[in-house]
Amino acid sequence: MSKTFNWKLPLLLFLAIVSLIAGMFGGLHRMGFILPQKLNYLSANHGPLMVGGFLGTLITLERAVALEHKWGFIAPVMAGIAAILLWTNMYVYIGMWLLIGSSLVLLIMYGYILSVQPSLHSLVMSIGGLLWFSGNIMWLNYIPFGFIANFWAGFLILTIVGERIELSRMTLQAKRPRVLMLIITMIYTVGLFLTLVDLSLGVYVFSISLVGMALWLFTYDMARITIKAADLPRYIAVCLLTGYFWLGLSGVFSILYLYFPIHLMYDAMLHSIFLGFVFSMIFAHAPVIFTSIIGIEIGYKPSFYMHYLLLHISLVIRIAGDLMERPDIRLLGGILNVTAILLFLFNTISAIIHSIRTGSAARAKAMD
Amino acid sequence: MEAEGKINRKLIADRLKLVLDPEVGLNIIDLGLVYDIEYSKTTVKVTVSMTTMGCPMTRYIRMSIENVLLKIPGIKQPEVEIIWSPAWSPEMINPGVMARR
Repeated sequence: MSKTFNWKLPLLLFLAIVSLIAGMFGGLHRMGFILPQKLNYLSANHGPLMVGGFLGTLITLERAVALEHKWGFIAPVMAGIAAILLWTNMYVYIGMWLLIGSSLVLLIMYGYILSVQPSLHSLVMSIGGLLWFSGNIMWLNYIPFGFIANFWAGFLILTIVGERIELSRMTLQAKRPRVLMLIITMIYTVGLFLTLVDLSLGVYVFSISLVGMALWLFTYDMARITIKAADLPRYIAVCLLTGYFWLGLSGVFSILYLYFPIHLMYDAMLHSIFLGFVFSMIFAHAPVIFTSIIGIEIGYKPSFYMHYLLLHISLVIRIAGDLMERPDIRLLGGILNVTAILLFLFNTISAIIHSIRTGSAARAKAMD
Repeated sequence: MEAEGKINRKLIADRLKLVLDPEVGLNIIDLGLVYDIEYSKTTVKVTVSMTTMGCPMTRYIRMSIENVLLKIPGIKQPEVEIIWSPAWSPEMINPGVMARR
């Protein structure tokens, strides 16, 4: 085991993953999957568990690890404790406050980064942090989840887009395309806030921006080049490009939802982002991010394509169920979505165990 | 395998070329992330930067550097220092590598 192993970091990651599992089963319950009655509350906590408990803990942990300042870890600790409160359904109100605190510390981290290295991409990620903070404040004030979900999605989208802008510096000589993306993200943010005063107008604005972001990513992103590479860089690129497709499609579904305001269209819109786009990014970066967090190198394995394929096939099934207004097909898609994510966890844990075993064997051989 | 006591800058740089930024598909030497290499018979200190502050790859790259340096016979304590000044910029990438892509 690496000397960089620190048990506190995997513990926080564990809290995030328990949130993910609890949140997924909460989501399945919403679709008609039967849970033990005492766990029915998970469906009410589905969104907060997935965004705050899982992704909030994961993203703040990732940032704190990268920043290498102890105070940064206040953010994932707060989000991790909130995760426990959400999946046990105890003192959820305190959990809300903890997530507000966590998002505030994330904003402070971004402020610190901007003060040392001002950059366009960090600015975009900071706006993402601001959207998470705003969504959490709205949640505390009982604003309907339909509004909050857009802000929480914005947090994840701008965090990812900021990273992609940063990497695009390596292939883009001209600054103009990056400024164009900054403008698109600004319009997107304005659209989100507009939903609070004029829902239709706001949805139009942010939906068109989502399509714009996807087109930009298809045109300029580094993944267009690294898809020609092999192994991990290629796998990452495949996941990213598929994710961009879902991001653009979510913008189309958002506009369609204005004309066909059925609940299942809303599901298609939201899960194109959360599952299609965000989970593609998680699948892509897990070998790197999990390695950073747990301190054990996770080697690339071709079997990673299994959970990648299952996620996207199952999402197509789920969305087909949404568009055909067939809850049974939607539930089948949902169960397969959960299976894909569980398979991802299994493949990742298998890769970690393999890494520990081969590392131990190598050390034993070296001592001979 | 290199014999102990034959550590030199080229050997260390060659080892560091095994550390890839998987997102970009380039090694850290070609990316221009390695600013300085200091070494003795048993220690190596590598001064690097990241493409941006708060880069999620930071700890991954730090660990990968330590792992490849520990494979040099005789090296017991590799040290990785991350600095932010001068800030990394795309001009630091090996131009030959970019031209081939």
